[in-house]
Amino acid sequence: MRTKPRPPRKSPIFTEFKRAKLLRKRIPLAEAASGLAVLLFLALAAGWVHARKDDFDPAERDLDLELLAAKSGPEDLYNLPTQRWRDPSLGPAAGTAPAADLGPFPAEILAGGWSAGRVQRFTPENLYEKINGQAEQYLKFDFQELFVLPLSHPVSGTTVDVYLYDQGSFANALGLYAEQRGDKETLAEGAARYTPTSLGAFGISGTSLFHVIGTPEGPALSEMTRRLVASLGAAAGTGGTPAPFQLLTSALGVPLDGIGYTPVNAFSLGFAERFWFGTPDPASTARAFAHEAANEAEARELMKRLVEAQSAELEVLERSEEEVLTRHRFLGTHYLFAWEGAMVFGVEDHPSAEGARSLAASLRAGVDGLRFGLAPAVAETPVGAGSGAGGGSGEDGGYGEDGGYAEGEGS
Amino acid sequence: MSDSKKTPPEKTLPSGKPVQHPEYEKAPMSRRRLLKRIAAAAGVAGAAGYLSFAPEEWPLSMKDPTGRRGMPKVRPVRLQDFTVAKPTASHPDVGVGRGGPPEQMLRKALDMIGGLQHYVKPRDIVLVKPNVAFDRAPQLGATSQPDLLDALIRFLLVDCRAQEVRVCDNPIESPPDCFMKTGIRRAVEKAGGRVYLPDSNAFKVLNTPGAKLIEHWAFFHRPFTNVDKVIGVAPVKDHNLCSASMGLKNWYGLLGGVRNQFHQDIHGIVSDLSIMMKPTITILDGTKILMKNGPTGGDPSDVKDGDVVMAAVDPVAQDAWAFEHLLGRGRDYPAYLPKAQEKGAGLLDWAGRVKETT
Repeated sequence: MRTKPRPPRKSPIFTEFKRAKLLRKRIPLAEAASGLAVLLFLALAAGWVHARKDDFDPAERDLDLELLAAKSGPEDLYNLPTQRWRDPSLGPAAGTAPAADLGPFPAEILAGGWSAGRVQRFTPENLYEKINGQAEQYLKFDFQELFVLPLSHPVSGTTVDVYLYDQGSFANALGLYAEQRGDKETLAEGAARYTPTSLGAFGISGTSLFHVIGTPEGPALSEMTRRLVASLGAAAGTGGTPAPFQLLTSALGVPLDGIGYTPVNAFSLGFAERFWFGTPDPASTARAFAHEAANEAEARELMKRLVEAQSAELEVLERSEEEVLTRHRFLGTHYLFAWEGAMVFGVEDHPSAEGARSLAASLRAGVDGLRFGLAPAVAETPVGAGSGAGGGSGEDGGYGEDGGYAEGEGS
Repeated sequence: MSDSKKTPPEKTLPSGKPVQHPEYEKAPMSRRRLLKRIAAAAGVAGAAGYLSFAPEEWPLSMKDPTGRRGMPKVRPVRLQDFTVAKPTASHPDVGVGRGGPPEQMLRKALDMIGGLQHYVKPRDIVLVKPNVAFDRAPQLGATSQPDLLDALIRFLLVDCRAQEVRVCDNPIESPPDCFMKTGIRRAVEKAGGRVYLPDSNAFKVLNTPGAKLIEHWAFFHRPFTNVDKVIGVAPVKDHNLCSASMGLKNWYGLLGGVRNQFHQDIHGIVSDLSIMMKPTITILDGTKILMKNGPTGGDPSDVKDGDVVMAAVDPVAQDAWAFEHLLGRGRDYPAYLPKAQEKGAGLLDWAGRVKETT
């Protein structure tokens, strides 16, 4: 059966469009008006979109947190795994609820209805996220890691943040503490040394520096601060204290308040590192200093470099193999540099030459005591005594046969 | 009727077979037309080939062997100049209000420079930038004081009839914690302002012509949408790296990205901030001055209670005055202040341009 033939094509290959002709002679007014209205609406919409662009009202996209909370239903995001089987004959396990992970902080600090938040940990790479702008001060003292524990007491409404900075060594912790403490008082609690503040305390414990900061002031905050300091003091390791620190506390009786540590750039000299400073007399500007070198030769060389590097300001008055006494050309005060064994020590900014010599003699006797076991008066505790205390024996280390400092039962 | 039904005579090929499409009419293409179309097709193919295969650096080339061309284009934005001229030349550039509660000190300082209503008009959207850098209690002086913010927002909403007061900062620490523990969120919302917290979509690349370190840098831009006036409210405090943190340093909190790298050149970045932001007014809060162990502080005994609030249209002179009189550090200014002066952010010499009232 044949199909109806199709009409012939006008163009063999390409369709050539021509202008469309309007077939109607007359368009009703209503139709024209509605068409114009639609066009006007489209034009306005286009104009509005163009004007807005990404210039939105930020408020449009925010949802009120309280509203979200009110409209949210409970959802168990995490289900505790099934508990391990426990022999019933052993009795119930102590504390059925899993204890909060407190990191390095002891669990007993939560006694009395305190609750702990999540412990945060920061490393040298991200310390700035917690204390931006201040991080460099901690990094200068060889910062290792920071733990931050938020505590809260629902009844009193008190909140406390505990910052525990591991500085890697007692020297760094003490140096940093001294820098932050300034001339404020230092108290002792176990092995911890701390400075109380109206909103908590800060201090050192072993190789760590801690800050306790809470709000508001009140008995709950005071009690928690005491508890934290005590627990940190009890938990502190009894690692060895450096020989220069022992020297300053034993030979001169410098209290912890008067001791500082400069890890780098001591005397504003790039090569002078790991120097300890002590102020024997708070009324005087004079400071004693000490540094432990690797061996005798290095100590001798360092003492020479210290004198030479400051020759523009310091005029040499007396010089011997072990000691150089100088006077500041502008200030008129006296600087004495000395070495013995692996120890470089001396006095800076002393008003009298005789006084500088006297302090240096005490230091030298202290070095002898540390080196040869002459029973010097050495600090009792690893972190030295509190204000004014000076005696003790070097239980945590001493000078060995090679002149170097060695940990152990001491001299 | 009978004609319409008549079938046309069937065409046949010489072989006798019927023609398949007898309606086909042969219409051969003219040579001119053929050549035109070949030329057009060749042109299109050549252009497409050029765009596809021409080396990257050639004009109009679309070749993208590294994929860089295909990356989304970031269009930097620029901040407008929010400054407003003083009512008269006789008004000082820096006003210092002393005595009374923070609200009174603030009003005195603002009146010195011509009154807040001169700078903020009805229906203005005002952005207030406090320092909320750390999650510390306000007593520690590391952040702006909530009382002062409360007073300022009330002035803006009630006296000036501002349409909206937005308060924002971008602390590196958890922003909600910082706004909560400093007491600033509560104070702002109580006074009728609105807190804007940063999120990853709230930043745009900001172009700051003349800036050395942040010519193009991520900036907390969302709260600045449609803003008419900008007011900085900064504490006065010691700073471990740049000696002092005051009005200019406060703008650091609007930067995004890995901004801690700028600590290598802290004075450079603060001087860049001075040209990045041209605020309407800068307010310095001298009621709690962190004298040492800044910028975080931690010991209330490091904080000195002051009785000063400053308002200024010249932030450089304001910082210089505060450095001398509030921190008590003489004229050994931090290096960023002379640098900011060199960049045209203000004049370091405050003499004759500061007026105090008690």
